[in-house]
Amino acid sequence: MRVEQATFTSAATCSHRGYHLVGRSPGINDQVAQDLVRWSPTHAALADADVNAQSVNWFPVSDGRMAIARTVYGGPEYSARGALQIVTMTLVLHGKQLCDYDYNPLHLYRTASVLGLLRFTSHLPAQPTAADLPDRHLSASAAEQPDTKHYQDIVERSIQLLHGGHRVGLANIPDPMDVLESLLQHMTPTQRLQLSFTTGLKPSHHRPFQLQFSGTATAGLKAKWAEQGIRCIVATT
Amino acid sequence: MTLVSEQFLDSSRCSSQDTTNRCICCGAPFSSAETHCQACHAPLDVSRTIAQRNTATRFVSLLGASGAGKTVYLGMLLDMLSKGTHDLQGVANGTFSVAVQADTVTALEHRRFPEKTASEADDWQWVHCELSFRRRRKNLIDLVTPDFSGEAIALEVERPGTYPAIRSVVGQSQALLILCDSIRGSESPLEEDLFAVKLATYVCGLHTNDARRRAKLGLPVAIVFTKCDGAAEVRDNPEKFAEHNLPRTYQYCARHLSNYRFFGASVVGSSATLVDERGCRRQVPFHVEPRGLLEPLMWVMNQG
Repeated sequence: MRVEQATFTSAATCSHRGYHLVGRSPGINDQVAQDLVRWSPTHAALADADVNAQSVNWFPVSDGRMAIARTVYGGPEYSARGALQIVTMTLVLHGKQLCDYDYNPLHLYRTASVLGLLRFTSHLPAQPTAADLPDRHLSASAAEQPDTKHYQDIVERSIQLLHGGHRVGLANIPDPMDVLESLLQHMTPTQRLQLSFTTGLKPSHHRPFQLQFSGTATAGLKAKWAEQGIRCIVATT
Repeated sequence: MTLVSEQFLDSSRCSSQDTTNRCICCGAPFSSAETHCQACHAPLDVSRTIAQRNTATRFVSLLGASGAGKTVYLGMLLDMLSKGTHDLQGVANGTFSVAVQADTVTALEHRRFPEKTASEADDWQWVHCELSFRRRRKNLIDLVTPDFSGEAIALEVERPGTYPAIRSVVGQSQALLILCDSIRGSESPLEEDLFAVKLATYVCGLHTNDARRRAKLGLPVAIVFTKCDGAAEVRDNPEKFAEHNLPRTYQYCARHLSNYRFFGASVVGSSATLVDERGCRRQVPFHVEPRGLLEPLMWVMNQG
């Protein structure tokens, strides 16, 4: 299965300075590139300030395609203002290519990660090539499947709200991937393709994810979610 | 883990039928409970504050590439205006207007520059300032200027319409300050020159129509070379610097603008680069010594 690649970060290249698409494979046209720019986060957009923080994002782009992206902190930001650059590595594919991945973006993400894609490197290629993924996803063993029974009520309520067309924010979730796994299992393939989510980006009007996660439940976060009409579900142990 | 609570305040889809409020930036209607414009993502506090006043509002756009010094320039400018140390004085309207000033002054006091401005429009700081000349107290003008991100400006210039807020504000602007990094203008002038020309072309495109395409644009445009602390020749004769280092911009202005001027400005007296344990480079300002910040604004205001 062939997928296109792109990288978005802050750099000083021959064409641009600051946050921009620093590299894209030939199969990404200008319209898709513009969509990737819109959905990709810039300065200080990761909710967690820890240098090892990451976010997995899934969103639609033009031409009936979908994108799975991983956002991490990279090296020092080039403009000498003391911050780390935010780097987003993205794979772009047509939704129908996911038929042997159960239309599950997490299967795509895990397979790509195991094969070394979506990985930050200090030397970002100016023109990455399209990547090849196996026709079937590399499924986790039963022992590795997370135990999601204790998320059940959160998952059910989230599904209900998402099916009602609402945007949902799940706060106080330390392991968003586990909850996401459970949520996706309760969705049909069509619903999975229509869903957009982020596990670790700050909320922004520019990135209208239907599902967002946060490890905290601060008043500021709830206010931001409320501003954007996002239903907030706060969990506790 | 159990579900504890669900909270929802539908501030963006308020059932209020009041659509007489219009975003000052793009003109889209908004309801009383919304905080950001749905169309251009501009904060609606600005629109509400302006609507309460009964004075003419002037948009003055501050444009420039990423790293040109827009945030520092704007923050220090506001600080100087608020102190009223020169003939021109300004009073900020709304708490949002003080944010840029506060962030910049606080950062400089702690020997650092403010953080990079994010490209997301809802993160931009907006300024609404009541300006007047000391000797002509009746000359009140409401100045509105957002602190745009340089990357967003670059993207909008490349693909007009990418950032509706930029397009709307620049299109309504009655004056422009285009900031160019004098250090980049000295070390890699081609890049700075080409970007300034693209910016000027974009502005002219928004402000001219087919009937007036051959006429020069009369909009006051101040081209400000920032970071002049290390380049005395820029401060002493910015026009000559432009002619020699940014010849394309110089020629474009001469050909297409009828009301423009070059300026040199700086905020810090000197600075150095530190590298921390993560390899992050940080410019450290040694002391604050603002020069030439007010002159461009005073000039554009005197252009009527």
